Amino acid sequence: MKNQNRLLLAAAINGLLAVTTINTATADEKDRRIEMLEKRLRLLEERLSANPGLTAPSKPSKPDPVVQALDQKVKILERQNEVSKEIALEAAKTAPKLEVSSKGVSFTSADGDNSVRLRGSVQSDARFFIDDTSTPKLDNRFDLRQARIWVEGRFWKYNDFKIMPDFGNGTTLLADAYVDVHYWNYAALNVGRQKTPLSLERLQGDSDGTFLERAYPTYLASNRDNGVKLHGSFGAPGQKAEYAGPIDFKNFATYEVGVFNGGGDNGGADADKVGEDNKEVAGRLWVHPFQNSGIDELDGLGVGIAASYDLPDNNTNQVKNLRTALGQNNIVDYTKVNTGVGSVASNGDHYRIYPQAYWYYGPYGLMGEYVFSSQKLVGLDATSKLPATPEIRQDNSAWQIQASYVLTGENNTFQSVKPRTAFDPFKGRWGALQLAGRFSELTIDKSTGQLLKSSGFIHQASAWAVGFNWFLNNNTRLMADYEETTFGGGAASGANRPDDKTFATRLQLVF
Amino acid sequence: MNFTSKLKWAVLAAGLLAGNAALADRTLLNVSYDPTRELYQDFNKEFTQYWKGKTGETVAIQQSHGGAGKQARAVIDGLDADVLTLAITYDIDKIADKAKLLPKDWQSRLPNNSIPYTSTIVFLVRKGNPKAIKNWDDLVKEGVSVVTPNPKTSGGARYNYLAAWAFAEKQYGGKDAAKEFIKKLYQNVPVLDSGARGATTTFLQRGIGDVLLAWENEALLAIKEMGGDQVEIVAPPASILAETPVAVVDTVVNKRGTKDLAEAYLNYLYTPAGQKLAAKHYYRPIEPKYADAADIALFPKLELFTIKERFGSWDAVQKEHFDDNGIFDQIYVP
Repeated sequence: MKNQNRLLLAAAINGLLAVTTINTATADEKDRRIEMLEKRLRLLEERLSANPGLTAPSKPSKPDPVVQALDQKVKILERQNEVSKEIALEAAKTAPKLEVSSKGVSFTSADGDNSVRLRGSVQSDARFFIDDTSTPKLDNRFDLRQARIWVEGRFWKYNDFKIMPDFGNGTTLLADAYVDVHYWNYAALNVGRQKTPLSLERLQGDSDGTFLERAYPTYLASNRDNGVKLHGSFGAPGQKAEYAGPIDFKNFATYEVGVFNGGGDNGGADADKVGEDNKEVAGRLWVHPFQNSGIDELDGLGVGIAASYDLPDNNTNQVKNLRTALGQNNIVDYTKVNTGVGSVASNGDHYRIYPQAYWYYGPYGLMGEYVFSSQKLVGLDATSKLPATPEIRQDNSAWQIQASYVLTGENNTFQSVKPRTAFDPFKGRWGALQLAGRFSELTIDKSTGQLLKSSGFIHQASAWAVGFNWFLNNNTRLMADYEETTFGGGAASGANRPDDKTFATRLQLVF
Repeated sequence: MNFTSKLKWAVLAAGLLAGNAALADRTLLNVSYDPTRELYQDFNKEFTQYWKGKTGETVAIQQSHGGAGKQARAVIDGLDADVLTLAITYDIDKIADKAKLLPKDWQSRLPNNSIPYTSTIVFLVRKGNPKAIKNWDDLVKEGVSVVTPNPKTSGGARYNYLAAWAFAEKQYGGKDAAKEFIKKLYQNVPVLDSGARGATTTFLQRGIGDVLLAWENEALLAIKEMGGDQVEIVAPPASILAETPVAVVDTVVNKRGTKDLAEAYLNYLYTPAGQKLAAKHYYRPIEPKYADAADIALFPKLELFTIKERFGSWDAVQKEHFDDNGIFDQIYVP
């Protein structure tokens, strides 16, 4: 009878062991099972020792084979568990990481030195012109303002790249394509197509702006340009700078200085004239003077100045039309030339100066900049392409000030607003809400009238705007702006162009 | 000595070593496989004294140990090894092929095909050999638990596997029989460690298994450290000759200016002092006449065959047996 009990007990434990050796068990399950087996082994040993009949073998010196077998199985399970953990740990050291998150899709090597990230953005706008009395009437319309899919990444820890085409706005262009080599934070080299380091608002992320469209100062800078830029970052006294990309608004102080083809005001990357060797030099200094000073109210204050110089030579590519901000309608149109002028060219020194600043504190935000852009223009004969008018010095200027407030209390930053909770109507979560106001003014030199018809350019545009932003989550934002612009000039016979009242909305998704 | 005392001594020793390295004129990194720690600890001491006496220069030798395959990968991926002292020639060939850090004919640059000492594979069994394990075919018997590491990550394990394969091929005739034999053998392996040291831990410290397929030097070291009352060595009638190669890594030594030192270091392995030291640490010296007779007497007498004799080359072995979807992948189901 005692032998029968013993056999039954052994059979039961063997059955349990068989179950526990299933290979699909996870490490945690194995731990739990080992614990259970050890407990049962102890119980078995206690029961055997408590029952002299069971523990009295025919040869007392020989260990019980059942206990020995169980002991081996427990040890094997324990060791398998150890080895599995060692292998998992070792594999984790070399396994690349695939991450799919609200920041996009990224692949990163185990050591973090190499990565590739896929990103994208869509901006769908609707524009409506209210009380439109212009002739011809402005078109109410839906615009696909931005449709981008891009790849950025890093190799060998210090070599970053970005390739970003844009399929929006009715055209296809390569917006950014550069390599940034940054072994030293104080001296990194960015080569390729990139934003020219001038306008503060232009340098803000294309999806981070408070308003649908940038204000007038941006339109007196070139947009993106091909060139080479040296840039560096410095930490606050006693602190180290951390690499924050080729456009850095995170560190204490930064500089950017580069040589570019030269885009002209509101120009792009392809404005360089064939056969022209003159290049544009542009630079910018930026500092957060109170960063980590302990004065919280001023921690987010940033001030800077940027400037550029170029010497174009009868270059028509560098003379681009200027538009209203929200309405995106032409207000300086270099095709509406006076009689006897075939086209307008930039000819001679062109320089700009851009003082700029922002301040962010808690839910409050302020940003402003001023630009003075001075260039020499000349009217060219339609046939000979030779100067047909006296040269004029066109001194243009623009400024803007904008203020914003996050109603839901999140931090207001230059890099947009991150809602504390994502919009989820089923859980009563509403994302983040932001209100903003802006005043912006553009002044165009009246001497432009020597080249353009009076209906071809305004000499002043003053615009005030209000904006509302609903951040549904870190990726999606619904925007609504209203802007009213009054003009000096811009109509036939020197009359003022009718006021422009524009209401526009945008649904934007960026990852 | 309790754990805390051991830790204190370890910290002190590490401090001394670090201090020594800091004081040295030049340093040399020896990247080696798992079981050679003790050999090179002693060898480095002797060599640095020899070098100091010969040139007046104080040098420090640093050691790196791990599974042979893993160590080779680390060198390919950028670990600046001045010298390699690895378990199999294939791993150094890979470094020459993939990373081009040394010429393909590296084996011709030192005596005996750059192999200053050898070893073999033996059985380490529990005291009294309760499962009566005497030859390779005893390993596939039902109820025999065999401990051996993973041949895909361990050089020693590849020798274990190939020694068993060679036995089966000769004993039962043909590859199919050998494959079936190896399959049965690995069915008796309860835990697959990644390196030889891990397998030794499994067998000795964790008390798992009836037999450990071990480097001869590891087995003799275990007997020395644990005494002869717990385990004993069984030498099969025939086993594989483990030819463990050494090489200077040209690109690294040229960059670091250590070529003369690295060459002298490896050449010292062939000197009477180096050969004597290898035997003291249970490696079979290629010149036994320089070793103590007592050390040589410890090596069991058995028939030894080489990779070249039975398999042609390491390259062929690797492709057929250990590459992905090779025979090991086919027969081993965890």
